[in-house]
Amino acid sequence: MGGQGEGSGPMALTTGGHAGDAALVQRLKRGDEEAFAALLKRHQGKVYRLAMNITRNAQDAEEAAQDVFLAVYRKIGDFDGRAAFSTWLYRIATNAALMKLRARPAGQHLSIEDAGPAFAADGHHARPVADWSEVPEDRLLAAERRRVVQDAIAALPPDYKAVVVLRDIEGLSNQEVAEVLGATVLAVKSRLHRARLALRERLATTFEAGGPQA
Amino acid sequence: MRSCKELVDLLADYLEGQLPPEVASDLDQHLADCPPCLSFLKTYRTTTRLIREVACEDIPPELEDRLLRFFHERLKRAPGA
Repeated sequence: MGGQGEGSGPMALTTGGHAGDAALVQRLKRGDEEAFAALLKRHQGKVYRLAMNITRNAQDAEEAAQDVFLAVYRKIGDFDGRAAFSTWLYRIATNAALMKLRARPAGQHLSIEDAGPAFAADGHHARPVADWSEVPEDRLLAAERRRVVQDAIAALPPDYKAVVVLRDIEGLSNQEVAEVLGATVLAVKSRLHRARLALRERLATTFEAGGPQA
Repeated sequence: MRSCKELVDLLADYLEGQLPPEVASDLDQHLADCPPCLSFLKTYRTTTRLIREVACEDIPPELEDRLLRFFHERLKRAPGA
């Protein structure tokens, strides 16, 4: 934007200080639009990445990011500071991305109930378990393998996808994910584990069959 | 001796070191004696790594500019929008 280096206008960025989120939030609550610009600059990458990983669609992610920061601007008065600003932001961003996802025609989602591993009555694995885990750490993902993994994630039901993105990609703790989603830690852990089991099963069918090397 | 199903049910907590020591020790023993469960554990861990590997990269610079411009224009037009 033109104002970035000009030091004028409502969105001119403060390039000097490193005030934390809390100070910027206080300034924004007093109507300081430079503080909004600083929060935008500081967090837009995170918001976009989260929206992109949930929606897998650049236009949806961009629109979600716009919606998120509009909501921040309009609703900053509702933010009571009990949670971290970043948690509040993740909550708005996750909801915005899920809304985009749900606005699309419903695709074929994995049935999480049936997607885990099968067990015999005595608790042993019902099928042989192959080890397809050996992956050279430094090797670039082949395009085909990447597509298989992305398709598997895309097939997760939205609520499960959100947990996987927040926990496994964004690296939030179970507690933080619970705060973002307004769920219990127990529910988050359960949802995450079931999503990973479903993904593992789906990837196993490809990799055990000699598909793109894991 | 815990079953394979119990191991799978507890796998996330086991890998995060969140189980009571005696339960973790039972699962250590199970894994030492059960190649299918060891394969399961390794492929579960690989699954989480692959999830991270296909994550989207950072925001494109042109989009950063576009977002800043979007709000610049919007706030200029209607402060408090």
